[in-house]
Amino acid sequence: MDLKKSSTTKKQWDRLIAKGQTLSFKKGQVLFYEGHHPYGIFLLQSGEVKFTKQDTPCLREHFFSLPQGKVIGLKPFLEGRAYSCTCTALMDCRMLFIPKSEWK
Amino acid sequence: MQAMQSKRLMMIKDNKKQSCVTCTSRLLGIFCALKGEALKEFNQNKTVNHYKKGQIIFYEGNQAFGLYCIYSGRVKLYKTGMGGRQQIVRIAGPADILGYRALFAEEPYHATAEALEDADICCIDKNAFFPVLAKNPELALGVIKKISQELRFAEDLATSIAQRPVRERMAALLLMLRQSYGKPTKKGIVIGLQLTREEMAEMVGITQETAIRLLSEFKKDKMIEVKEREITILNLEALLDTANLEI
Repeated sequence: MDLKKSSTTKKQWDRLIAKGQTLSFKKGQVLFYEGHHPYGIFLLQSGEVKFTKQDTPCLREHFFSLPQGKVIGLKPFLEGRAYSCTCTALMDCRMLFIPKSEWK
Repeated sequence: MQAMQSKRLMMIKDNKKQSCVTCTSRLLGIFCALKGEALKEFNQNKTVNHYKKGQIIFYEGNQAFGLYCIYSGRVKLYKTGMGGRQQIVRIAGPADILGYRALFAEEPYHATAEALEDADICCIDKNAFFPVLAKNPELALGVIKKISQELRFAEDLATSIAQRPVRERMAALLLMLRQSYGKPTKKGIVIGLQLTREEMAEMVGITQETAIRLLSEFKKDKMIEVKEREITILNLEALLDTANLEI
């Protein structure tokens, strides 16, 4: 997804990222479960994650990338729907988490 | 069949049904003081999710980003010690809040929270929670009271584990479970929360083998009846005596 085509401007992203919180997930820990509603969005800054649907691998998500990392869970968050996959850390990961309350 | 299951999984649980305004669990916990705009703000900023048994709400050592409130179901909080051994520090149920100590102390979560059974849990992130707390002194007092109660419980538990014999600890645990989850029947009080032997052992700091042996002894002494995970208290006085507690 091209930043230029996104409805969120660069200035808005910069503001949101400034409000983000760094979270760490160890290998094997779950970021979110299939069927759950998002608490916010994640920017994957380091490490790798995998996506599974009912314990089988999902088709790889098409990531929306920012200089700060790959955005995970943006579509379900903006569309107000549940996650279609479970996201698990494949190795120790560092994330920038932007909570729901910041998207006003 | 798979497509139907997928569709079922994709169906959004109607968040509007679990509104803070009509939530009965709210009235049982610290949020009972919230009214008007504060309650509306909470409702707008909360997210409700259905956790299946065994799913993790948050991990010990991870940074806290929000406060969780249990709408229904039960959650166990445990710490993982040396050698991967788990110590259950609390069992939380409807109206209980989770993760508040990590938020207030600005520290990582001190325990892992795992759904003991299917549970509906609300989450409000800290950026939405703290402004409401600042404007509502009754809510702040309610939180302080809750933290104080839990500190006392934790100190009592630490003393119990350090000083009491294992038989007393196990009897005390059964009495605590009876008080919190007991349901009267013709035979005696059935403990409504069904824990594994391992979970019971974790709660009192003994091995699973010791927990099994003690339950077997209590059963032989006709203090309890055991049917798989269901425990019925048959003789309360004898159990109180074993726990070295007075009526």
